[in-house]
Amino acid sequence: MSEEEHLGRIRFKSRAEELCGVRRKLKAMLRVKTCQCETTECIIIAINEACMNVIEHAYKGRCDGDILLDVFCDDRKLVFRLTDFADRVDPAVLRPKDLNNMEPGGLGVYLLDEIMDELRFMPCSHGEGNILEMKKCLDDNGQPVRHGENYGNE
Amino acid sequence: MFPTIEKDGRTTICLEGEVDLAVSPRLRRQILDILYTGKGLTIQLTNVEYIDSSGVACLVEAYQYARKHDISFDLDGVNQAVMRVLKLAKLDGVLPIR
Repeated sequence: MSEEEHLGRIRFKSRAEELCGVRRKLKAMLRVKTCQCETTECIIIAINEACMNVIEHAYKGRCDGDILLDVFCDDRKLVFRLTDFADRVDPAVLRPKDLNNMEPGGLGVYLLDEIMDELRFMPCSHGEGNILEMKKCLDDNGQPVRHGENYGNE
Repeated sequence: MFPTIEKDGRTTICLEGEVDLAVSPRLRRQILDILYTGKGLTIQLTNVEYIDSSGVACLVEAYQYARKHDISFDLDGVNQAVMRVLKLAKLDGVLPIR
């Protein structure tokens, strides 16, 4: 089994205005990993949605909360750990809604679930808050390997 | 506020840059204020570099309101960055795209 490399950590506050910078830094980090451009764009969409959820639902509008995004990789996958220090959230929030109802809300979790291969809350060593781990599996060419995935580009 | 164009009784909102949680609450207000007047509305997306689910939610809400109140509504200039998200959300065949 290959060893995980820590590509880096992005630290930011729970403000919507921070998200633009997070996306830029993440893009630079993923460029180092040289995964396929379309895959990178989709991963950025997913991570942005996860960060939004922390800002909106974990910190509930508080602007001074700390958020950490750690990125790891090995030769077959990218792993993202998003840590916050807010109250614990119900893991059921990761259940995507039925899009057939076309409600304006709930799209974020749907996108996250659609793009990532694995989502799970990890135990928090710091006693409070939440750690959401997201995994994206890649083949040798940096292409996604999940169930014939093509991000809707049929 | 995003710039608008008025022509033949129809309003076009020209979105640009990154439409994310930092701007979508204001965009939602701007869209609804126009729709409340009963005027037709086009959302021009050519210069959008990024859109997240909060931005897409504005488009969905606008479409639903317009449909319910029989107001003309469509999206124009849907570029690759926007289409990527609409396809992921399976909304590319639902929202009215010119």
